[in-house]
Amino acid sequence: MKELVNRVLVVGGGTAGWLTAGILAKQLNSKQLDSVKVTLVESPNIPIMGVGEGTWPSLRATLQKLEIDEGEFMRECDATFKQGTEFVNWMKPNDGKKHSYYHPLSAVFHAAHDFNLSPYWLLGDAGKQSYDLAVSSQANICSLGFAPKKITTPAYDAIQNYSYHLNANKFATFLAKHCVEKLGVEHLIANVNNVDLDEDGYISSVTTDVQEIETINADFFVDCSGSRSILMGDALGVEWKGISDIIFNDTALAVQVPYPEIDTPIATHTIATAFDSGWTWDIGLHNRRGTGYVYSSRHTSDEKAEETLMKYINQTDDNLEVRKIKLNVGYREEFFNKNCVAIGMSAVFIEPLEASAIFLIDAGANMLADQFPRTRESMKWVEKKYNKTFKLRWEKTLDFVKLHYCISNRRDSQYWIDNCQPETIPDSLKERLEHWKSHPPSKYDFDYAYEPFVLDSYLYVLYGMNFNSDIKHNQSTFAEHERAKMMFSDVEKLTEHLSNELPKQRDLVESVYKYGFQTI
Amino acid sequence: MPKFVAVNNTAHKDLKVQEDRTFSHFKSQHIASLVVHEFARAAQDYPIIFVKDNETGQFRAAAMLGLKPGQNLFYSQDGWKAQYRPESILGYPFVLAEDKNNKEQKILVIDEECERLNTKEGQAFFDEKGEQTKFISNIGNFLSEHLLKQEKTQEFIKILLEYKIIVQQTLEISISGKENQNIDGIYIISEDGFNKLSDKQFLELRKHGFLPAIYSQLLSMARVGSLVKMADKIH
Repeated sequence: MKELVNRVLVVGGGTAGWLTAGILAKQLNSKQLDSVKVTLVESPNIPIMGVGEGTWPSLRATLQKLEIDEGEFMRECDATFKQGTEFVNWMKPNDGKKHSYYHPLSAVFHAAHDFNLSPYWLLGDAGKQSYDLAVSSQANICSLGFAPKKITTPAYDAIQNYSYHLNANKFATFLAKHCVEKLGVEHLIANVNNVDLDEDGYISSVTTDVQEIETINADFFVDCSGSRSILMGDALGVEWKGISDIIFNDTALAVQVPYPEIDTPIATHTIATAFDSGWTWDIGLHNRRGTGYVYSSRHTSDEKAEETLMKYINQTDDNLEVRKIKLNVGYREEFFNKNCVAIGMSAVFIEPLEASAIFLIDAGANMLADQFPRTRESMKWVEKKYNKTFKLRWEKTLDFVKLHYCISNRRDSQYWIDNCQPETIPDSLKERLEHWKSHPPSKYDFDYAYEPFVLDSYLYVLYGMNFNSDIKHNQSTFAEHERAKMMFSDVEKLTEHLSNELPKQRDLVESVYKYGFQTI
Repeated sequence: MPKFVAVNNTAHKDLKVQEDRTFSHFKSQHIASLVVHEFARAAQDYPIIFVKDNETGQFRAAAMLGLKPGQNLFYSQDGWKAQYRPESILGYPFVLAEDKNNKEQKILVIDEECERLNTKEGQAFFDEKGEQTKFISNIGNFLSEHLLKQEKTQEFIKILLEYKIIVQQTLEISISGKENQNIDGIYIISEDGFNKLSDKQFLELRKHGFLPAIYSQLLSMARVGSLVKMADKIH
């Protein structure tokens, strides 16, 4: 008789916990009585971290799969549309002008995968236009503050690719309600005091401080307990590895800034502004901006950091509450071990640049749900595959975040000098960069199906930061100049068309809150 | 630009409105809203479709009057070119609007820019004593009833959406001597989807009295051909 997996226990109720519970319950059809039962236990008194307010378009697909009403979700979570990130001052000023570029989300039109425009841009076919504006309309749409779609566009459909800015605390609460009411997740509230292992070292149950549910048995466990990692770290002893030799930022100060007026325009992209020892995020929700400074405590003091942040938000209000958060950046040596998977900050934690946190949760939970082992015998194989895929995703994320620092020409502080030292750059990234000095990046440089950051993303950052790919010696390879010029001109036309069609971000958000989107 | 003001017996004491058999106010409107109650009659003359409101994204039902924005094939100086006239065009220049002082309340407003308003000819608003005329109270009743019918229509659309039997449809129109033209933004009931409803869903629609409206909408699509013929004559 095989040992069947009939019950999953998710420990921890933040975004990671609820998103995982929802994805599992939906995929495993937990509403049905004979299906796998999904239970989530969360502490009544440990606050969820809730700073991650930026997301990826993959979340749209997940919310749709969970049969969440997009309008309701946005209204309940103060959510707005996000179309990319603007990077300000990640390079030194040129001729007294501050440097800035966009990394838009759109690959809806003109994806580099189909026809790579970057060599033609490098060879001057787009004139003096910057890379982001030359190859995509979305950078322009962001700078003009237009929304990515119209009120008549069906729910989850896009005219320009988008994700959301959201209130992470409200998101967890919203998901919890949906998971319990619609997807059949059982919700328990208790502190987990102890984790019990069986003779094979697999987790058999957890014990809690609530009498009625003193022992919770399950066949499979998901550790969403955040950096405390009470299952994967404490009970199973899987080690945490720091990455402070690559990514220096280890502290964040967060502050919520009210809008001056009720109709202040809302930015439709994250604004990431670099400073001497880190960068500030600026995220426009419906009712406020979420801002913060993430920095390296080895390179600056908390006082100086607060000064930087306050100067950035430029507010006279003394009542703003600044919250300090320690970032223990790193990853777990294994993400899947025995009958347990770690998802969220118990698995990996990287600074919020490029908003990979919720993506990694979403991607991990979807893979687990798809590959979910229904017998103990089958766990080993899934463990192997999961660890391999997730490790790849993690390493690629790390490479991409590091890219933003290590190709900068800023040397105005020790932070930037240190960030550009070759020994701080992972080999996998170094190899790619070396090749791209003489060849434009190609889709064959991104050949893993689960690569989190694809060709377009790299191109936006590389050429947004004036990366020097010298391809003159190889000009003859790129002979489709007419086609390229046609596409550059198509982008211009599309931008013009979209800016007449699309509503402003705030106008659409207000309409969505009021009317929602149609499903068709 | 229309200018709507509340009908009152001081400003509008001597006002009269002339009848307009051509409905000229709608002469460049290519659709006219419908309520579910008039589907059966409207289907004799017009294709019945669903469209999304540009401001709210919400669906409403409408009769197609033309094949492109700005075109109303039923307008003519000799009078409206169809037997049936949608209720939504009958009330003008009167409209029921939300009372600013009491949002629960609707009040009768009039478009003061309407050319048919004068003090000499037509139906008077008020009699010598300043009391509403029969004409005005009839208009008021007609518009209030129309409002209730609109609510019922929203209920109808909600069920269709819930049963997922509304689909987007691109109409391909060929007018003689011209290139084929596609009309987007049109939604109709899916005959296939309707036929696949469960017995329970079908009975639910019957209970609400919505079946005639569904059949009418399906049949009304044959009127697209009539519109094309009307357009052909113009060119």
